[in-house]
Parts: sequence; C-alpha cells; structure tokens
Amino acid sequence: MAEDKLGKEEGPSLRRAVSIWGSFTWGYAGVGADIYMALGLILFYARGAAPYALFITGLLYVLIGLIYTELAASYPVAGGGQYYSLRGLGDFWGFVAGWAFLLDFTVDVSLFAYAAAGYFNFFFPYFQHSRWIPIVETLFLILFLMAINIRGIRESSRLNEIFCAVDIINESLIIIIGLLFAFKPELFMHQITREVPHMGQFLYSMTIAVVAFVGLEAISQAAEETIRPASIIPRTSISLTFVVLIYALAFSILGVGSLGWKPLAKHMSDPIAYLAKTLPLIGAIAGPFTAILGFTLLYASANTGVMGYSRVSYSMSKLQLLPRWFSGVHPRYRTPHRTILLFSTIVVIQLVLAGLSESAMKTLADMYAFGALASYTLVCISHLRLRLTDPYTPRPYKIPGNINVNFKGRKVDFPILGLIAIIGTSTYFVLVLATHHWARIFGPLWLFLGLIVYFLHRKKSNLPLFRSITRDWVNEQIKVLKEAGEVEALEEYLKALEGAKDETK
Amino acid sequence: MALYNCFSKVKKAMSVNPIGLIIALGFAFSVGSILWWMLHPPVYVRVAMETVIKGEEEMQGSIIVPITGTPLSERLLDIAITFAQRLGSPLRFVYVMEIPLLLPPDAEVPQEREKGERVLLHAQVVAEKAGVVAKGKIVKARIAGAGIVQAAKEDNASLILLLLSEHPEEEVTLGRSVQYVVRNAPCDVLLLKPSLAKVA
Repeated sequence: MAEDKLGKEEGPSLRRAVSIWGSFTWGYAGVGADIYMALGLILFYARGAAPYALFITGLLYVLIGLIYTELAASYPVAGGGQYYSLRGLGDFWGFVAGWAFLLDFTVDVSLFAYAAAGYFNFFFPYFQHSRWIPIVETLFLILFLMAINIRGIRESSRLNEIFCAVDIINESLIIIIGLLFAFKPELFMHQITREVPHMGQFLYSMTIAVVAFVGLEAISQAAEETIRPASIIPRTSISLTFVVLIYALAFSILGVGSLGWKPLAKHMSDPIAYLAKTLPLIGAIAGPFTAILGFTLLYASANTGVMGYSRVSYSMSKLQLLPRWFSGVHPRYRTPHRTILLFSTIVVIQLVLAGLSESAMKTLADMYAFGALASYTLVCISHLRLRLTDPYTPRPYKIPGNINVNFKGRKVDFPILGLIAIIGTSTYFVLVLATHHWARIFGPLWLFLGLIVYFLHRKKSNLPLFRSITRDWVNEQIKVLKEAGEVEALEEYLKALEGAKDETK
Repeated sequence: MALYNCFSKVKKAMSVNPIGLIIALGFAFSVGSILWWMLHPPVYVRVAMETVIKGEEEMQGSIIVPITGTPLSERLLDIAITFAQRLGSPLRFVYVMEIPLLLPPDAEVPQEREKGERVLLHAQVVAEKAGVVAKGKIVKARIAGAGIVQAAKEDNASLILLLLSEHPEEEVTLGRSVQYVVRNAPCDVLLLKPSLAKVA
C-alpha cells in the first residue's frame, strides 16, 4: 500500500513540534538579549537622546520585522534572508546577502560572548577596568562554544522556553519597579532636552542603535523549525518584534530617567545588571540575579551565531553559492565541523583585532551594524521583487499599506511600506559607511574576499558568474508547504498555478 | 529611633511617582496584551497545529470518510465534520485508487494519485476550518470497499461513514463497495442517504 505525504512523512522531518510559546522563544533567543549588550553603548553615544535614537531606529526595525514575518510565513525554508535574496534577486545577490549574514553571525559570536563576559565580571569589578582580561575571558567562551558545537549539543526547546519566561518576568519586574520607585520625571526631562549630542553624533548613535534590534534572522530560523509556520509565524513574529521594541524603549526611558545616561554609559559592559542593582527594595537581589541571567542569555545568543553561520554556509553550499567543502559533516559527530572551525577562527581574529582598537565593543558593534544593514537592505529589495515576480505563492501575512498595480499584465500588491523600508535601510547603510570608521574599511574588505571565493568556486564548477542557475522553485515551494503541513496554503498555491496556466493558454 | 529611621527610609523609597506609574501601566498593558493576543489564536490555528503534531498512532479510533471529489462526496464531507464535532473524534479521509486487474496491485497511476492528493488536500482544508482534526490517506485496492476496510483496520477506526448514491452512474460501483464494507468492516458502519437537494 502506498501512502501520500499528507498522511505520512517521507523521511525524517527537520521541523519540531514547538508550541506557539516555543516558536516565540526561538526568535527571542536571537534578538531578545540585544538590549543587555546594547543599552550602555547607545547611551554612551546618544546620551539623553537615547530614547529618540531607539525610537527612530525602532520604527525601521518594525518595518524589517514585518517584512521578515511575511517572507518567513511565505517561504518557511532553511537559509532565511540569504534564501529570500537568492530567490528574489538571483544567485549573485543571494551570495552577497549570505556572505553579509556570515559576517554578522561571526560578529554576533564575538560581540555577544564579549558582552557575556561583561556580565560575568559584574561579580569581579576589578576585571571590568582591565583592557585584556575581558578579551581573554571571551576567548575562552568562544573556544568552549566551538568545542561543544563540533562535538554536537542537543538544543533543549523546553529549557529555552523556561529561560525566556524567566527573562521576560525579570525584565518586566526591573522596568515596573524602576518606573514606580526610581523614575524621576524632572531628571528625565533634563536629560532628553539638555544632555543631547550634536546632530553628527546623534546620527552615529542611530546607527549604533541598530545593534539593539539585530537578530531578526531568528524569525526565519523559527519558521524553519515551526510546524504550520503560515498560521503561527505571523502571530509570534509580530509579537516578538513589538515586545523587543517596547523593552528597548522602556529600558532607555528608565535608565535616562532614574540614573541619567552617564552612570550607565560608564557600565557599558553590564548596564542592565547595574540598573537592576540600583533599584530600591530589590536591588541587592535583582542586580546579581540579572547579571547571571544576562550572562546566560548573551552566551546563548552567541551560540545562535554559531548555529547561524553553520546553517547559512551549509545552505549556501547546497545552493552552489559556496564550494561543497562548506557542507561537509563530521563522520562521527554529524556536525558541520569545517564551517564551525573556519568561522570560529575568524571570530577569534575579529576579537583580537577589536581588542587592539580603542573600544572592542564599539568596533564589533560597528561591524555588526554594517553586516546587518547590508543584508537587511537586500532582503527588503528581495521582498519587493518577490511581490512582483512571484505573486502566486500564498502570503498568509502581508505587511500593511499595499496598492494594487498591474505588472506585466498581472495584478500584484505593491508594498508602499516595503519601499519605505528599502529607503530606510539603504539610508542607514550609507550612514554606517559615512560614520563608522572600522566598518568602512573591514566591511567592504569582507565582501571583496567573499566575492573572490564566489567567483573562484563558480569558475571551477563551470557555473555562470553573474547569471543564476535554473532552479525549480515551484516544486520546491510545493515540497516545503507539504513538509510544513500547510494544507490551506498548498491548495491556494496549486489553484493559483492552475489559474496562471489557464491564463497563458 | 533606628527603627523609625529605617521605616522612613523605606517609606521614602516606596513613594510612587505618578508619571512613572502611568508609564509602568502603559508598559505592562502593552506587553501583556501583545503576549495575550499571541497566546490565544483562533481555534482553527490550534487545530491546525494539533493535526500536524498528532502522529499516525494517535489517529486510532478515527471516523473513516471515503471521498472521491464528487458533489456527493462534498456532502459526505459536511456530514462527517458534523459527526466529528459532536463525537470529538478525528477524521480519516480515504481516497481509494482502484487498480484494474490488467495492472499489478502496486501499479502507479500518476493522474489518479494527483487527483487523490488534490481531493484529500481540499477535504483537510475544509475540516481544518471547521476546527476538526483530520488526516488524509491514499489507499490502493482492486475495489473501493476493500481499500476502505483496510484503512479502517489500520486506524482501528470507530466508525465508517458511507453515503448511498442515487445517481444511476455511481450506483453499481458504490453499491458493490457498500456491500463489501458492510460485510467486512471491523467497526460500526453508518449508511446515509443524502438529500439530493443538498447535493450541489
């Protein structure tokens, strides 16, 4: 007896039976810890205007978050932003986006491990003043991550869900108790009106504020892992986007209004733990507890970077954007040991070079912003292009603000907010290039090195250098929807394809 | 005196700022409402997740519903959903690929399989929207009745729903299948005579 795929899976499925909360926490692990690392840095540059910088950047982040939600629900596949760019813009730009994401994931590991060391040093204040001790600690943390990932670790969804719940409760308690008992409106007004930077510095701080929201790739990772992504992802991703924005704004308002920007900027390595420590009533307990939680979350977030570069380089290799060497799996541990070793070495080099600069955290944040904005710009352009070229794929969620236009004889929904997102991300990208010294040098250098690898590989494999390989997107989409159990979307897609066939007849 | 000082310190620390209170309430309300909205999806979303999560073994005790994609089959689909809602049982849609004797029993008929997948897909969508857990299965058999009985045995089904046809062109086939199912079914069989007026 034969059975169809709707009844039984053919082969093992990668998707996990995660709940709605599980899907939310999967994304939260990637983007939720950002504020622990970014708050001190943003306050250092934006001073009293930090809430403004976070709000303006937050608006752009919401647009990108909604675009990711639409794409992840429509194309719930491995590869995330790199895959969307490949599908929307072709092989070459797909590679550029993927390579920019690889930069981001490597910086993610060094930056978040460095920030985790900062929270660890909450208990050893002497270490915080040293230049090299945090770097050495971070090196150990990175090497440990590398070792356990090569050996293979089992991610526990349940543990992740519990950690996320504890963190949300803890952050909420800090904010509510802080606002109730420590917030001083007069100090807040003074800070946001008098203690503001000049325009050039404010623009720079806006680009730094990007790091408070980076990690939206987690949405696409959550989509790959979630059963029924079309039904679940819009709900969990929109919630994730807004919850992270609200926490970032609340922390900046509380920080500026309770202590002023200076003390928190001084504690750049552990700002949230310091804020918790200064709270009345619960400070003595909340400070150390937040430091432990911050360390754990940031270290877990660094691990999402390792997972990110393993997954993206594997996907790029399978899509023939990188040599097959990158998709090699360890014969015993069944882990992508080559990519982990290669990119972990790059992480260590980045960290040491950043350690030689004026401020390691600032330099890493510079690079992080470069990689994120380069890839987000390409994802936003791909989103617009896919709306025009692939109107048949069901979109369970569409970003608001669409106008119906005729494109090559077909009615398509043109996303006005998508266009605004492209303008926003490209403006930020130009700002990063104009104001970030290290990013201006090392960002393009990274892309240049990647292009050499890409061209050599394509030439050696007799593949077109600039043109794309012909791919069967239709059958792939059907396969993905079947695998995800998306019966309604699948029926809609098949009907749309039949309609398109009839039109051409 | 020391106790008084301590008390006044705590009192001072406990003084709530009204603006801080408003912002804190706004924060708590916005985060709380977003999380509440996220965790309370419509029923069909929960059923959709449950359907995929349910393993084959959890389809035990299901109601077997043979479907063919005809208007009569659509009517059976509606009735089956009503039954499933009342009984709280999952539905197992079965599409039987009848393999003619001229071909070996495991022969593939691609067009037939494609039609079966489409029909099952549609049935699952309709069931899902009605909030019923449902899975589909394509079974190969020499006659439809044998395929239905086989599916019922595999699922340890609680009930088989069959519709009696009044369409002359379907009478012979369905009649033979109905007889086979009634004689060989491992569970209860319910024969329904549809009102032709309700068949689109």
